[in-house]
Amino acid sequence: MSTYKLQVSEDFRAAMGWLHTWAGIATSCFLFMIFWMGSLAVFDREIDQWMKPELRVTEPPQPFSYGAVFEQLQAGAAKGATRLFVRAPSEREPLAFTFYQTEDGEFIRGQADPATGELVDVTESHAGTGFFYPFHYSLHIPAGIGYWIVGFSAMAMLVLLVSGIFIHRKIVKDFFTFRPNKSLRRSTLDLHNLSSLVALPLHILFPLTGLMIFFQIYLPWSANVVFDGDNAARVSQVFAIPAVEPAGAPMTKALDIDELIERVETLWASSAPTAAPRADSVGLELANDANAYLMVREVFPSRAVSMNKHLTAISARDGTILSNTSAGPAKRTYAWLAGAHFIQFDSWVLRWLYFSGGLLGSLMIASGLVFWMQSRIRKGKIEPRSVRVVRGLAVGSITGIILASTAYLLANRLIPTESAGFGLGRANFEVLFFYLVWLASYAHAAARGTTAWREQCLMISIATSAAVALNWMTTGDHPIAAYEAGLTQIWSMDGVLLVGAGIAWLAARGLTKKDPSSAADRMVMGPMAPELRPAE
Amino acid sequence: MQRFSRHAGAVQELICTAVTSRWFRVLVATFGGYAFTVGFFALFAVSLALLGVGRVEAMWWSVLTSFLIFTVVVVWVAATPHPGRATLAVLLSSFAMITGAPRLAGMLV
Repeated sequence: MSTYKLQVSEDFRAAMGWLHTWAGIATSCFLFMIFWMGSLAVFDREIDQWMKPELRVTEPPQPFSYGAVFEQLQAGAAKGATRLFVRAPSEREPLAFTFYQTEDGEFIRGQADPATGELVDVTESHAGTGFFYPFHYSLHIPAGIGYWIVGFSAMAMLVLLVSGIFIHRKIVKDFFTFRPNKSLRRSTLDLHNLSSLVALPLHILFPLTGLMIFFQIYLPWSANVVFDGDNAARVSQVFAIPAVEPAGAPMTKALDIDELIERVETLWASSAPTAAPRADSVGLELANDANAYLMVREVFPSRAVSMNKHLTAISARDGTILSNTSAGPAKRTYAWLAGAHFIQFDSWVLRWLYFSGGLLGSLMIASGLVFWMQSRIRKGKIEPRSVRVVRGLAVGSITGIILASTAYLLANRLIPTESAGFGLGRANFEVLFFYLVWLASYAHAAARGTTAWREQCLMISIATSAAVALNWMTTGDHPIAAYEAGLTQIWSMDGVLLVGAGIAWLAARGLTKKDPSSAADRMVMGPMAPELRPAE
Repeated sequence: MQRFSRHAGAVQELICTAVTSRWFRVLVATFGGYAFTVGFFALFAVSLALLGVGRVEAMWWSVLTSFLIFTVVVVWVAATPHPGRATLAVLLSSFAMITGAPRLAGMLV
């Protein structure tokens, strides 16, 4: 019997080593930002509750009435709006989310009390869903540039993973190897290998599905070719948007919204008898017009990974079904993959697993950068300029962004609720804090060299502890009080902040011992092993 | 004539140096890979639609495969011992797919 063995030539391995090194150096800083913000975005709604104390409501009332919220919106702030949208409250989001488009085309977001349908005033803050989450996929860089940087970095991440797998001679051995007591360079490489391998499936899933989710941005021309280049036709077919024109006359008598939604849910249930589909968001299109219709969606079924399960348009005038999605195998596969990236399913265990996977990804990127720097420092020689430049960027992009994120939380608790943020608006004033601290961290890194790692870790430790204390002082919800009140999101977040403070303090302490600039460590490093030599 | 051939030799050497350089590979892998993916997405979706798959479903199949194809092209261009041939292959096939896909789309009913 003949056997086949995959031969990986040394030339190929060398090419992959070169690709891995330079793709990593070029994109690591961005990748860390994306992974860090993605990890925070796993708990974006919990962060919202922490930053907007008015959202700290234990349980949303059941059943929820969309009709009551639409009625309140149309009778008040959204009178005359042409398009309205309501998302039902959930365990993670106790108030109903609303937005509407005014006649001027402006989009206004808000939160409504699910019991009464009335809009609730909450602390003005972009918080988790408005700041951390969009940062993850757009870096808040305008004109679409941020999306392209994220897309480029995600592609680089895929290439890094493939090349990283090929350059490893002993993948299984690396999985079980971590030698913290060896030199900084050796233990950093161990940590890089370990963090890469432990969560490898997630590291592949994140960038690949992220690219798929934004395919319309990255490949806009290609997506339209099969629709004869007609973008409007593609959008209407993909999202099952019915071809309904405004009648130009006002609606005389609309049907009951809750009854229409129930009718749609019955339709969904008939096609999936084992499931109990529930609409989780409803849009009212062409509101106030005689041809108004509802877009009823089940975007994130609570007990399934797959998203966008159902999307149906129903006339608000006569209850006619105007359009209904049906998914083939490719759409269903995509829906599962996208759902696995959006992580809106109802599983706390999986959510924590994703959070850990995101942090492991961040650790993998950070340790890769540190290893690259360490392998360029030669015994008794002056540090190359490339190392100093990369270190400055790395410190600002790694510990700097963590510090800035914590400063954002501090600003949220320190700025008074009624503040206008010196004309910027309170929410933007918080964001200004974030960017000022972030910029300062780069300046600090440039000025302080190697010690910047340790000092910023210490600052993170102090700032995260202070955030917990400020939450207690401004809301009274210290972790024990929050636990007793059933506010799981609040005490969990305080707990994570305290654990983060402890880790940052331990890291600062460890860095004091392992400062590579110290003579002792240089002695330990000794001559470079061949596999540790940087690719030239 | 001799002078011309000396210049031609220098230009040829310059091209050879450029083609075998790593920066050249990076450029071809990034932009050539992107062009290839653009063409592949369009052609694959149109081909499936011509074979009877619904247009929306055909587009989703392309979404599922295209970024994996991009990764393969980048790795191949980075590792191939023949960067010149790889460049020609990537650019010509991209051109063929980008120009061919809309023509084929015109055949869809």
